[in-house]
Amino acid sequence: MSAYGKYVVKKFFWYFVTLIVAIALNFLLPRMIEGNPVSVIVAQMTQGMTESDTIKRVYDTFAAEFGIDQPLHVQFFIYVKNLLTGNWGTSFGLYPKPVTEILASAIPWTIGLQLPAILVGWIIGNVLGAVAAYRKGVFDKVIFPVALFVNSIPFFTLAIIMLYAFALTLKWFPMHGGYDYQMIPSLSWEFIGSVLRHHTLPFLSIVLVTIGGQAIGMREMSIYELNSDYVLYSKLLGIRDSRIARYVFRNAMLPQITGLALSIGTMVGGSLICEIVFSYPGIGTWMFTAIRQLDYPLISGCTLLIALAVLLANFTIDLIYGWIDPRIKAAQMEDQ
Amino acid sequence: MTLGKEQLRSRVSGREISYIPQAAMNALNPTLRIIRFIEDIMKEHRPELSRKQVWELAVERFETLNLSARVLESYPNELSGGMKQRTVIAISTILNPKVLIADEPTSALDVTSQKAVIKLLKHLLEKGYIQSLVFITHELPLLYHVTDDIMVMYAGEIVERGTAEQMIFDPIHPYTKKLMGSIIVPEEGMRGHKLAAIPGTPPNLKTVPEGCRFADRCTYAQSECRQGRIELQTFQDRSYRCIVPADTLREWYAHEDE
Repeated sequence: MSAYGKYVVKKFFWYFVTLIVAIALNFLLPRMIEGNPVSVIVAQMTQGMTESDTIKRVYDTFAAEFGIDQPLHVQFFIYVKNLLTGNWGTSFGLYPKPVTEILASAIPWTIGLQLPAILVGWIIGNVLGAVAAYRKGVFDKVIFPVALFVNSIPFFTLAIIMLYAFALTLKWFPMHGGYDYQMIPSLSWEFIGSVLRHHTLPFLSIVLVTIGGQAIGMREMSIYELNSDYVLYSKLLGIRDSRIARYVFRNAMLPQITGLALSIGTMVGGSLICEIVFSYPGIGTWMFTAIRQLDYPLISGCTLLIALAVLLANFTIDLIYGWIDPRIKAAQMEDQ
Repeated sequence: MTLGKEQLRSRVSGREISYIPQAAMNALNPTLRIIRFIEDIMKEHRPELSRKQVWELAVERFETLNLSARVLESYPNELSGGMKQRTVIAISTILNPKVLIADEPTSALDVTSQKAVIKLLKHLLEKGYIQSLVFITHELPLLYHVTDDIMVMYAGEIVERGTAEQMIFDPIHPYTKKLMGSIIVPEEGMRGHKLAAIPGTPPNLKTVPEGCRFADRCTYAQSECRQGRIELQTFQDRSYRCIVPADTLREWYAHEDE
């Protein structure tokens, strides 16, 4: 097998181990509640319920799902088997809706909000940062402080200010939700228009923050690269500035690509605050609701999804980075 | 003749006057294969060549300099320090420049690599790939073996100029004289020999002192040394920047050596 193949296998192994650990934690945490987790959960859920038959039925459902009459390791295998067969448990809060169904309905909203926002913010931020570093002068004096300012505001503050200014005061955009609640989701123009109108404000808030962070990072990296020896050498050999700028920005981009991949990976978890502020029907809002309702299956469903996304993003970076940067490829090979 | 910046770049840089940087380790773009960089240079100066022609030219040049064609397909991080240095030299001279400025090309290298680099530069001169070489260094013994003429600079000014022979064995300017005192010849009796350092530090070039820039550290300095600009004097076929006549300086040196 080639050195790169070995590297991939080794990396895969370690990510697999990490995944097992993440699953084990997901499995253990609800079971660390004092006493019998199922009765605690069921007791909370059935507060106010008087019909003992109903309580018994709820209890039995969860007891069977958790397999709490079995020893711990058997329970773990049942849990893993359930995960693999797509049975991620039943939500307490929205009983008897399965967790997978809730997650499946939320994922498109989260991805639809975050992915375009991160990409747009990333591209604009990097261009601005590069321009600030390269053109210096007025560009740098304007772009850098503004980026720093935007980046320094805590995200929830920014989101609330935007909500207050553009939705509450100016009434340009709706206050909350993913679409108008009077509508029934369909593929009509009216519905799509409503989705877009609700999408704009949270989208802009994420774009703005992403631009800030990316512009600062790109500016620093570009300045560093512009001062490196190869720039001077290329200049003295008569290579035109536009080409040297290409060298510099390609090299300055490398760490930014990691940043992009990471923020796409943490997208699901990172959307929490944005979705809460704008009451957007994505994973973040569901997770927040689940935490408030102590909806353990839904919480572990969300955390497992986040863990999966982060691991997948990191694994992808590890695989593709060697192709983008020969220095990292060399380091990868040396490990073998 | 005055040239615009753009003309300077396209007509002179890399083509007429080329350059070997001090830190060859970092002089190459880490994410560009060597051949891609050469192609970029050729696009500027020899746009009529096809990629294949550039490749053939590069292989031929690299092989005469004892670098394998494999180097061309490599990224800089795949080459050793000495190889990188030779690669940089090969790239700098690929267009047969009239003048090659080598800025301390041997300073970060071990002695074996230094020797290889010097041999390479001499080889380039012999083959006529470069017509002349400006060798910037502080390693005087090395300089003696490489150059015809030596120019000594102090605080941004040329203080003396002459043939290598004259400069090493018969320096005129007090600074050159002291500088040559730093050469150690490994022979018997040198163990007990103390090297004389020049007291003080070079002046801050932001506030250049009036008069001779070396005056503060010169043992022969007089009050006239600190007045006005000291011009280069010509003495036979060489020049030096000091108000004292060359013969007087020589007398002083002879007296001092006794």
